Amino acid sequence: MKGISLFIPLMLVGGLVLGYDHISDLKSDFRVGDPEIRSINALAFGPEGIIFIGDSKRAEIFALDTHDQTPSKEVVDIAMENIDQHIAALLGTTSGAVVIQDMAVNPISQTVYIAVHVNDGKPILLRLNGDQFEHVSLEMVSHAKTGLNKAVKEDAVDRRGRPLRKWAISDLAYYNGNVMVSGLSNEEFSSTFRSIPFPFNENQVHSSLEIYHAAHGQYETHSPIKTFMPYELHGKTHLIASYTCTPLVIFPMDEMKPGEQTKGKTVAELGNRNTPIDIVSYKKDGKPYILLANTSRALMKIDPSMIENYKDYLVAPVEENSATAGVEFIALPYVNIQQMDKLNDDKVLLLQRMPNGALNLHTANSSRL
Amino acid sequence: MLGNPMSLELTSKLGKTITTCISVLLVLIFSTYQALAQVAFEVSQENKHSVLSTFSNGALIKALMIGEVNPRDIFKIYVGAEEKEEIGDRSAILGTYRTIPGQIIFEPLVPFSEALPYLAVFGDSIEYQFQLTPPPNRPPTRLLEVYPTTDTVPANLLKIYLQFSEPMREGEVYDRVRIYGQNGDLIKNPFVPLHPELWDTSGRMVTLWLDPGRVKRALSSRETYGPIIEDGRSYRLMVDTLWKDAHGHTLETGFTKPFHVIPADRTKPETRIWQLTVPLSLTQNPLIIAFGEPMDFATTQHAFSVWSAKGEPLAGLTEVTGNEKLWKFVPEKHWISGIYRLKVYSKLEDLAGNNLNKVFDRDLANESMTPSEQEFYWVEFEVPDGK
Repeated sequence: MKGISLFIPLMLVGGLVLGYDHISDLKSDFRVGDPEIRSINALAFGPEGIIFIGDSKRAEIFALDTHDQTPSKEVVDIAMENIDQHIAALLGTTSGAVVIQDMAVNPISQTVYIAVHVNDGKPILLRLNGDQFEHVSLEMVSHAKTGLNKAVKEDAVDRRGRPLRKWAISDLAYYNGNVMVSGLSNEEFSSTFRSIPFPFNENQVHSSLEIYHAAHGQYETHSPIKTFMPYELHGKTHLIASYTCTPLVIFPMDEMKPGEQTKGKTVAELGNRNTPIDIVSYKKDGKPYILLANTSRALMKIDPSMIENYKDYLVAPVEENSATAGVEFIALPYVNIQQMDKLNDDKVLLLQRMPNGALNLHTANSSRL
Repeated sequence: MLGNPMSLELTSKLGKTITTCISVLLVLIFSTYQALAQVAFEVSQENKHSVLSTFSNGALIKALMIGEVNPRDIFKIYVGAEEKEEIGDRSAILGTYRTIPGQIIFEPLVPFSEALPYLAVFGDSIEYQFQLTPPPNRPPTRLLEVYPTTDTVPANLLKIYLQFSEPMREGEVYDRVRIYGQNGDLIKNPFVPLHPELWDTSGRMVTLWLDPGRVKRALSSRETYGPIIEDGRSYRLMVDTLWKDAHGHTLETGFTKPFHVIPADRTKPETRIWQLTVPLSLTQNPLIIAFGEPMDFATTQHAFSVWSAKGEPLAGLTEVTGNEKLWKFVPEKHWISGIYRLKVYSKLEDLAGNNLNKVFDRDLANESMTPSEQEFYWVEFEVPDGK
């Protein structure tokens, strides 16, 4: 930059507060103020530019009005190299001090939102405007929130002030008037899943999900859900969930009852020593597919009709070492994906660690998936 | 640059733990305004970090006041030790700007790190390097304790907790903690690499899960990679000194914990075998529970409460101690003779993740291992008369 050219730089924060259009029913109980967000562990978009934020430190889910509701004229491919170094420079630190927590694309505007934690865990929300990041203020925003306090009520801080147990949020999704959230405790290796009606009220549905975990050769309730997605199978809404040792499990949503255990059906065992990262759906030549990104395995492409038609739900242990079983998948040549979200029905946005160590954001078109 | 750089002492308005850096440069500032100006920089570490620039260019002051010039375009802060010419296309740091006549104050979105140098640039070419210094009295961050504290653990140990003196930086756990066998060979991938990392709400304690797929019996990952630790062998848990705290400083020292492995524990903790040391009435002596085995530190911390015969919980101090084999409770008020009840949350675990309801590694074929669904267990005790 030279001299004092009047380019408008990065802090286009005001939109959250100032763009005041009519109040929809979904936002009617939103209040402008500081929601006091202390961490961002998961992001998900709802309708009308509402972004949901899962805050593990506060054990709360926030709904923020981004006022980002202008439909994009055309969906352009997004690409940015060395995104971690770029974000580190903006935040006055080194890439080692920046942990990218989650990435979400606004389905209306196709704007990319990225949540990071810096140093001591200060949460920062950024969004991409062209090739520049803007900071999205978390302080004076129109918002609503709901607590996950049932998860920790038994653990009140003891009298020496030792801190509360943490309910770490692993994934978040909005579907059909509900915010769904999966999590794991820092103390128990268990599965917790909640479905919270939105706009928020007191009627939280809290389901414990039991699955047959083929890699472990037995009924298994101890493994936490890492990532999930609501999806229509046989005309009914199911939860497709992937667990830490990568079984792919489906749960019919209408069988989930508050406080009851729901037994899921394992339809695939996608390999041990692997943790799923994100699951999305997309279309190729009009046909739907599911993509699952992983820590130590390649990007997996799954045909949902194979899940629908898979009759032999896995009941026996997988015999071969680190073998896979169940519904077949195609391994796509994308490894070391850190974050994934759909840009639209036939474009998927990937945050990927490249072989040279660079962390790049790029778009994969369905023709290549 | 025109003119000579000079220094000027300004009185610090900041407290004694505050580092104040001041310099004044007499230079030509804006090509646009073509005017000479003095610019002083001041860095505050107090509460909110900020960099303040003070200048006396009348035209610039006016331009800022009427909004003709945006302070963001005048005053930029970058991370790095380079000079402006070497910054290249690196972005300036995000933050908020305040202007008052003759001053622009920048507050970074994320407080400046003590571990990094920064460059403030006023206009095109007035540069000022600074780095915060840690308060002199702050001790270096240490790893205070590794749980379990015992040096003998079961082969199906499930969790390790690391307790630090200060909040730590996220994202480094799985690179900084390693387990070595007795021959010095590195145990590969012993932990489940969970993201988010499992820090407690203070950022001072992190939970590491030993891969349950390699802890449980007859699972493919155990068959493939073997158990993580084996009965009869010795190991060392090592924590790397390069681990950074939230300020960006490394740990004071590394940490080594040698431990020996005994046979796997596949039994539930049983309240009936616990030994209670019951105090006398009219004292505030502790109630002590001896579990007969080391328990999981975190779940033991908040599994217990003590209730009076009237059904009221007692206030007091609790402590997990004796290598986590003991739980102590010291009431705020003295004991009264009579019946009390200890309420135990069923999620209380031993070192192998067995809780009061079920063993972690449950054999489905064995019906005697059918889990209980009980949420709480009660243990009754009587405080004898201390008169």
